[in-house]
Amino acid sequence: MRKKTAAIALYMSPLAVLPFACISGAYSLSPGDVFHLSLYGLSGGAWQAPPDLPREAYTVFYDIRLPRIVLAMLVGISLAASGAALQAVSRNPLVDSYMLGLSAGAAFGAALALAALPVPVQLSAFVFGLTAVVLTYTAAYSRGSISPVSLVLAGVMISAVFTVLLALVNMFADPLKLRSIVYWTMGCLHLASWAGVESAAPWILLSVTFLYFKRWKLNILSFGDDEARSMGVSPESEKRLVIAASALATSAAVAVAGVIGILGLMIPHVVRMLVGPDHVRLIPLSMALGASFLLAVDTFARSTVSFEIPAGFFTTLIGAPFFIYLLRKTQAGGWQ
Amino acid sequence: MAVIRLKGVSLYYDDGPVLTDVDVVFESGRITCLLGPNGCGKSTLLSALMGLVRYTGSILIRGKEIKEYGRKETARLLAFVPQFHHPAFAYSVLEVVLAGRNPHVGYLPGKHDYERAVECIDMVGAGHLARRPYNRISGGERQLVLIARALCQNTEIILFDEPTSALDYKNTYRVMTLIKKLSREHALTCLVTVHDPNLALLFGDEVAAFKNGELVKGTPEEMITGKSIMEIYGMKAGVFNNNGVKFVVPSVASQGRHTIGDGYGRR
Repeated sequence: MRKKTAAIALYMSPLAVLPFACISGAYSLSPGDVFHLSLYGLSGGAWQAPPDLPREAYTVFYDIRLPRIVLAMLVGISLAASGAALQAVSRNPLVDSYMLGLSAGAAFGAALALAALPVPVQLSAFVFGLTAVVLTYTAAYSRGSISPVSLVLAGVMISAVFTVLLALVNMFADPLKLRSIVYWTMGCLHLASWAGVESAAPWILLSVTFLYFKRWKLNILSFGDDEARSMGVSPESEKRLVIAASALATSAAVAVAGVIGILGLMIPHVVRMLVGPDHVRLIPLSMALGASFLLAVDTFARSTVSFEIPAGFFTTLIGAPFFIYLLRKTQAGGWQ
Repeated sequence: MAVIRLKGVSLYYDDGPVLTDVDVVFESGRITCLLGPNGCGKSTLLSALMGLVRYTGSILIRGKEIKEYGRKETARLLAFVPQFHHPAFAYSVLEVVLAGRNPHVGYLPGKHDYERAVECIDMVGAGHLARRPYNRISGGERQLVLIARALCQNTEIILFDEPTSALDYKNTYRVMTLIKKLSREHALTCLVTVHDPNLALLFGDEVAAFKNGELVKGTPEEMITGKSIMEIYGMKAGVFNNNGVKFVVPSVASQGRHTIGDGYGRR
């Protein structure tokens, strides 16, 4: 019963955060304004808004705030779902998609594009993020299978390599460009635009839909390769698909929103503590909480101070103490 | 009726053959205890029956080559009870057992699958544990849950990989008695690897033993003799009969611990 209540609350959480996300920000809109603006948009411009609603309110709401809200939710969904899926296939509760080298690869790609290469930042981040995952996977692959331990170890190594390369780019980068690199590596939802949403949304939606449909199989895969086989699942091909979908979702998210830390690791844990580890519930609930959490953090980040603080700053500041608390708790016997 | 038939089978791992030229038949509805020293290939044989080991020769299950079954089909024919199970997450007992329904589940498990899982938990006498986290129950209880998960697969063959190795004295007999009971009630063909010949004598309908790399099968009485223990393990043992109940005692036991050593090379 308690679990059911928690599950309903988690599903509702994005709806609870949404109104606050709409009204808060540097340009504040009243709930009435948002009501009129939403109806104006939903009716395709037919709705008669009060004449005293300034023209810039439309621009702020539709061109700046709404894409940012949509992007924050998409990125939250993508990071949380892929974190949960990767924790299942690696049988390791301390894994997220960044641990496959993805964030370091993407950060290097973005920095390279910002500082030196004449290619779009998003494209470069996306390509290098995926490249890092492919390298990690190849390094960990041996004798037709992927062991969870070698996957994590290979990820740590590939991350280390890209981190050094990133430092190298930073050393030679123009100080003005360095600032945007630093911003990017901590999350850059403030650069959200409809173009960004359009470039990331198909990849993210496709991948998380795939993970959603694989959620029962994730239970079986989390028992380990041998047991999965004896229960009629081919772990090699299923794991490859899950890793690929997670990497794709995260790369697309990181390419438009920068590296937003800890979320992919933390959200599945919170959901597991509330409703248990069954992936049939865990995957959709992680998506819901990922969306509402990142939206809440970003709303907080853009409404408390007059300048932009990257969302990754807050997710990490809130996430890190929580994670340490969790580690201590698990030593008490939660996981092996 | 022969359910499993191996003809001239050799099993290979990456670094070479593990077993060569095995010919054996396992009959329907019987418990066969597999005996042999550590590393002789007992577990490899079980893996081979699930189609997970490279082999030459012919492994027929219900008259069809194991290679020709799909993975899901195999899981509907054979269930496997592992020696240990370390859960990565704190699944409840019901969730662990429900996983056994996978070969019969298309997209998500339905009401029928839940009912079957509950039924299987009751069959092993673990009904009171259903809602408990699997990683918080005792080793004996875990073994029962793994057996329930195998039952949930609705197979006619269940392979047990050393089901009693990690169990205490009482739980060893509890689990073996359960296996015997389930085998009789549901006409299950059970292959059980064990280390203690006494268990094979008490619970086996048949005994298959690895002697010098060869798999030999017979009744427990034929297979478990002083001579045969010598051939399997290279050690002396006596088989005694107490009012019709046979039991094996290794001869070292009667000579005191000094002859065995204390495990550190001291005598």
